[in-house]
Amino acid sequence: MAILLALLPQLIQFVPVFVAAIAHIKAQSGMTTDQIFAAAGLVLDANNQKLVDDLKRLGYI
Amino acid sequence: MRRRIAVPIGLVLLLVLLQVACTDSQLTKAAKASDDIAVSISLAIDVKRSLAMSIPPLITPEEELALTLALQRVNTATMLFKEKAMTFKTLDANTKTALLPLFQTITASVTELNNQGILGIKNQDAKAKVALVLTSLSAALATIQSVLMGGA
Repeated sequence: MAILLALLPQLIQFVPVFVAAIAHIKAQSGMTTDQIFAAAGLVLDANNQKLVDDLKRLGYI
Repeated sequence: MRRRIAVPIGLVLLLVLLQVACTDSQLTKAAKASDDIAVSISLAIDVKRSLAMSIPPLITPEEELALTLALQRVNTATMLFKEKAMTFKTLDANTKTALLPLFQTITASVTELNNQGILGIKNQDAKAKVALVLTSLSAALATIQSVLMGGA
């Protein structure tokens, strides 16, 4: 019991992780395969834009 | 800072692990893993930026450039895999064969990310943070590998 109480502050910080993870999995679960691919595509496109912006900031392009 | 980074990385690890046990079709598993890789890359970008813009910076501009270029290669390889995979309605022997080289390009780019991006970071704390994202990337890759090469 004492150990659990000691760990509680550390475990509580992961509650948002679990909540967000469950929300993400539920969101994916409600999607068709095509929709999941489309969602991945949106993230990948956004990633590419961020990376291009970073390369410009770093003076590479 | 550590908690803000640990929370989203833990999220990706958790959702990858949970998805291993689900009963989706192989193509759906590949789709979810692709999405997980995309999210992992997004997290890596955020981690990279936060390390570069912290005061004092925890990675140098040269280190950030190496990471940025390596992440761009992983992102591009994942885009190509995703675009090919989504043209299929199911994964059979033929479609798996078509996807395999694209998957291998992703794994090669992730290896490059580790060797040319992460290992070159001098600040050990910063290196550990970025390496943690690599862990979530590798977990998602393992899912795709099991789909393409195994019976998952």
